[in-house]
Amino acid sequence: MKFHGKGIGHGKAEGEIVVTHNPISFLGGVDPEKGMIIDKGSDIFGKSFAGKILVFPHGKGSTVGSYVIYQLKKSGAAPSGMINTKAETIVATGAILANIPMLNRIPTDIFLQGDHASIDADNGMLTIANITERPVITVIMRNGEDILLLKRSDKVGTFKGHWSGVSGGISEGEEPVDAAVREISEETSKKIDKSDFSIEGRIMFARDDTTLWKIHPYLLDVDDRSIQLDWEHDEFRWTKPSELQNFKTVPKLDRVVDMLLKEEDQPKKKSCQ
Amino acid sequence: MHITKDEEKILQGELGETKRKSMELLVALGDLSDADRLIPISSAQVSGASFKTISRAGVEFLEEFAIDAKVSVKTTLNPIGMDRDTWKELGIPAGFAVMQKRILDAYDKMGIELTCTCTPYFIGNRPNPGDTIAWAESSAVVFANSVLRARTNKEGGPSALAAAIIGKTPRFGLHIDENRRPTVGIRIEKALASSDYTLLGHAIGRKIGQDVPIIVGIDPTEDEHKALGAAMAASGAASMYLHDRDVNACESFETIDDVISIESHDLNESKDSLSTASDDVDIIAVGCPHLSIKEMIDMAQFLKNRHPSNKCKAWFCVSRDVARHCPDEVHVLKKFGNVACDTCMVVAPLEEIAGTTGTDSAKAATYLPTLCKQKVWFANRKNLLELISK
Repeated sequence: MKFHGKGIGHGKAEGEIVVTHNPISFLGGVDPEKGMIIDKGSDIFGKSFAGKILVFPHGKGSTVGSYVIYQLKKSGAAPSGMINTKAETIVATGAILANIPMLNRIPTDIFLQGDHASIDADNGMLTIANITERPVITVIMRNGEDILLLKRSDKVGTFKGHWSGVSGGISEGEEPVDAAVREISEETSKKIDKSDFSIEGRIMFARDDTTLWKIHPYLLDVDDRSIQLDWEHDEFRWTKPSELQNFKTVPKLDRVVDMLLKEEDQPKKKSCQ
Repeated sequence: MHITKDEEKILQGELGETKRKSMELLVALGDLSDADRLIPISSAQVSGASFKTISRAGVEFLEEFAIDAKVSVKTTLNPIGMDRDTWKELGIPAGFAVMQKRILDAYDKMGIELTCTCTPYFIGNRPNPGDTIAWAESSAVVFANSVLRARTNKEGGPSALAAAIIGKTPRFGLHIDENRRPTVGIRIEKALASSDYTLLGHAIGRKIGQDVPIIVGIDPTEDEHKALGAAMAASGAASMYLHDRDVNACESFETIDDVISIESHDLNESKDSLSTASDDVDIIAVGCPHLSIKEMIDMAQFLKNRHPSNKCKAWFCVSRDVARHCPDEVHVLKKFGNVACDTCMVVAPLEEIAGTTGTDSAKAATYLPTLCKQKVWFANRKNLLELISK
């Protein structure tokens, strides 16, 4: 599976992925001799990244962090490569001073701890071994303040018994928005037009073993709560977004909902058409 | 970012590893900020000179870099962690001095002037209006943009060094006209004393984030500008401001929707937030940013007919060049404390020397608690001088 990012510095690296969703302060947050995360607040506290590819959203803290990255290299404890979602100057500077190949603009969500990957900073290319991307749509249907949850039946291939929004795979050659309209019709029997969506959210990723779900999220406001389920679900419920934590859901559903509702608060800009 | 053929050659390593790495850094940082190209600079000011701030990691980098690095434009250096000559008298540990000297040697090898000051504009690195420069040191950046009207972004130590070596900097931020226009108005409702400017800077910095403020109702001297800008950059993210004397300042002010008034209580709030101790201090320290010749004269004038109170230590922080220009004043001040050249209370290992510091600088008062583990008595300069004399 290949991804495009933006290369920082030069060179190639290959190895095991160590991924954190927390920003890293290299001054104080890592052990410069051992190449280990020593920030107790980190989700990978105590983990070693020496010789591995370190994935984190971005750097933070003191600008001396750039020199700490250089010191890691001198101690033989540096990561072999680094990947950021939104690189800032501290880490970018460190990567260049220490000659560590780096990629920017890659979401941390596409990785699982222990993935095997290679990066090429000259061409801005990331390759993760043995994973398959599956593009899907997820529609959050809303009536008033409540959103629609559907419980996946025993007959579906994945996430049996989990709660989700209207969702499904995008077929070869199909536009995401058309897939969303089709799935709504199949799963709820509601007929809508593709211009009816209130929000088309930005793409999110969720990893499940060797599958990378590429989620295209939509928000759809509806006037009535009548739903006719097909074989894919055996229960539905209208519920407040804040109640989501009480349901066993498909991965990232809470974040999809969160993001859609937040984007709604932004100045209106429809990205479809 | 667009790269010329010559720049591409450097990037491919045709002019050596140090230049390659410097170019790679400028290009990467330019890309991160959506710069369109590199532009030539006329001077650089490099930060990251104190052993205290860059630690062993920084020393190792600089020594390796210095093997074949040479700056290509006038380049001056930030304060270091001690006075090169009198570090023992100041109470600097010997181990610290050894590492500090290694840093100086590395910068010296690169051809950087060992000015060791945050006020390069007092000692011969004084750009002209419109000059493009690459300066680190936030207080000097604000001064250069706002008072000298040169153009610089707030560089980091490595990016200023890379710019000095290549002689160029990526064009973005404050190198572009549009980004130098005021975005927030500040109206000063109170007549200001000289000692108020540092508090004004602190109060403004806290309120404005990364905006470019236009300040009306002030008419600062150069030293007051120095205090204002340094504090603004320490409490916030400001890199420049405009003020009454700027061309069309008042007209621009009329077109700004977002206007903030600063009143006495704002300055008092700043003062209260900075002061964490009484006047029972181990040391008083002035000269953040480094003292000007005029400040040296004013202090010597005040102290010359008084006697040391011996209540606490005193540091007068100043560049070596400015001190050299006022030997008589240095003579007077030395009776009351140390004329600490090359260094200051923030980048020296003050925590080895004192636990409570009196200062008249809102910038120093902002950094002393975290960088030097100090309790701070914030007071005006007259109060500080009265404490050490009678």
